Amino acid sequence: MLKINNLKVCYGRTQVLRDVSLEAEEGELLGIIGPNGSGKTTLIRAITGVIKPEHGKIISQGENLSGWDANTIAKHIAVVPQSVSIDFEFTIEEIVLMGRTPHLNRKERPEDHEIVRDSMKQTGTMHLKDRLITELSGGEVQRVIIARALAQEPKILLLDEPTSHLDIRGQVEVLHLIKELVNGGMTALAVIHDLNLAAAYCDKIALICNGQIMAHGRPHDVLTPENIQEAFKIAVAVENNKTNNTPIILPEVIRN
Amino acid sequence: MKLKIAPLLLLTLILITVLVASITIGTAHISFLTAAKIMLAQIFSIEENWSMAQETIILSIRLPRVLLAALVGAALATAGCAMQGLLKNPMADPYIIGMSSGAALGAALSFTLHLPTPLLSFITATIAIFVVYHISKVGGRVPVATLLLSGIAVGSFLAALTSLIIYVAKSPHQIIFWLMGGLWTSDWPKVKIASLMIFAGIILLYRYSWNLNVMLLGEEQAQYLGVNTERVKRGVLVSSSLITAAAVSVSGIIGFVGLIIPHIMRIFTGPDHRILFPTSTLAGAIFLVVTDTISRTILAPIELPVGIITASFGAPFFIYLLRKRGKSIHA
Repeated sequence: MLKINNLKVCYGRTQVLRDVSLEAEEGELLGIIGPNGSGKTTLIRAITGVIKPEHGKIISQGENLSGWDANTIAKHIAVVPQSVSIDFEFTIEEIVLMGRTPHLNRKERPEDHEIVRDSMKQTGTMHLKDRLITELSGGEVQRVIIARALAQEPKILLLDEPTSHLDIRGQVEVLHLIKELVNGGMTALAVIHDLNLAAAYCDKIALICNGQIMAHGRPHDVLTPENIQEAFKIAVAVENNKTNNTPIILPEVIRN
Repeated sequence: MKLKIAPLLLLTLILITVLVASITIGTAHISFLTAAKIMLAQIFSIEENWSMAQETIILSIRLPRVLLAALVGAALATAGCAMQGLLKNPMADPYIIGMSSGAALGAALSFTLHLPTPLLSFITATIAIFVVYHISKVGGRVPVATLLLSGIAVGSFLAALTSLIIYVAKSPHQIIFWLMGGLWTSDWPKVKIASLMIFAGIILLYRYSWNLNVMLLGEEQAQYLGVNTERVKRGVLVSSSLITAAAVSVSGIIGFVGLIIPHIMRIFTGPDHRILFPTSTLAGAIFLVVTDTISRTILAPIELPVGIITASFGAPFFIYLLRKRGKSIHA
């Protein structure tokens, strides 16, 4: 379980996040949506301690993470960053093994390799094991990065636009995978730009605007035309997707 | 990840062969057998059937020179490998953040003030890196791009000072020869001091292999994986500066080794520093022993600065490898 209390983050004098409080239960996928520059990526950086918040608490499994060192946090929280481009010819197995970094004590042990194998099996990347990361497609790379995150054995998974550079099939495959992990008991928080994908896959959604939470709750309650109008300054119609009873957002097409 | 032991064994074997061969090659003809006997006589008692001159040539001239060449080559290649990894820049070499300009200024000063060159160039090289590091520091962090830029800025400033000294110096050729890099002043005290610092620095660098691998993914990702990136940067900079300063102070500015050897090794081993570091160390040693032997025999009795040989033999070989492979420089 992840709990964020009254988080405040500043870059110099600019307040990027003000008084953000959020909660994600175990087995829950919390989607973070909001316009560009609203503070979504900053939220992920603040949760992992890569930037230090002015004040506020991050609580995981009842423990306050502020004041922990990077290594201890990395055992609790894994991050799947935005687009990953790796120019160096590491094999997939080597990349996933890097997920063991916070647990390694100079030498890798047999159990590390076992965990690496399990993570690759879970993400369907086992067959790519000896391929080079530079040779894979965007969707495959993202699955490998998720495998690396799993190798950290985290309690919480943070994903920063995990699907934004993928084609529609890649997007669905990656979100399916995340959903599977969440159903297995993981707590996940994902920044997602595509409102329809967020609506279809997230259990709960938080809408961030100007560094503040504007709405937080079930997709149907958050993704209303009024909220979207206010946050994104755009008129939309919201319909119901009958196949899985989730909202579909249709922007009003401007013709001239 | 299976570590490949075979290339390490092969390179060690080549290094030993090259060392022995290089000791027996020179203007004064001394057979391999005699050379071996002279060296073994230091440990075992062997009946003497060689001249004093031969013994002096082997023990006081060739042996320290060959060993120093190996040490300097190892140091430059390892430091170059570390800087390329740290800066994620294929153009990086051990001198990139102002080390060579710092050392050059010290050497230029030492020739005009008649002070010991190795000591002064070591001191100025270390000061240069210290200054560059602190200029680049922004709020407790050292961004890599800032480090590179301030290295170039400080480097040009120091180079200007060095040029000024050369311009007004009574015997500028001394300074200019030193800048070309050479091992003709090798002696045992230099071997001892350099080996101490170079071995220590190389071992320190090896300890950062894994974290450097992770940092190749990007600094932010490395932080998410629990790596204290600032500590790694500091450690890698300090250790590679130490060994580069030690190498430069005894041999001048020998170019090319630190840039090309890690690249060539990366083509064969891939980017994993746990194997890339030791292979670069060994290959750097081999490369400089061979090129130094060429530099002192090709126009004998005249000696060429080894820097001329490293570039004129190394560059075509590297171009050949690049073309043959036809892949990205990152390899």
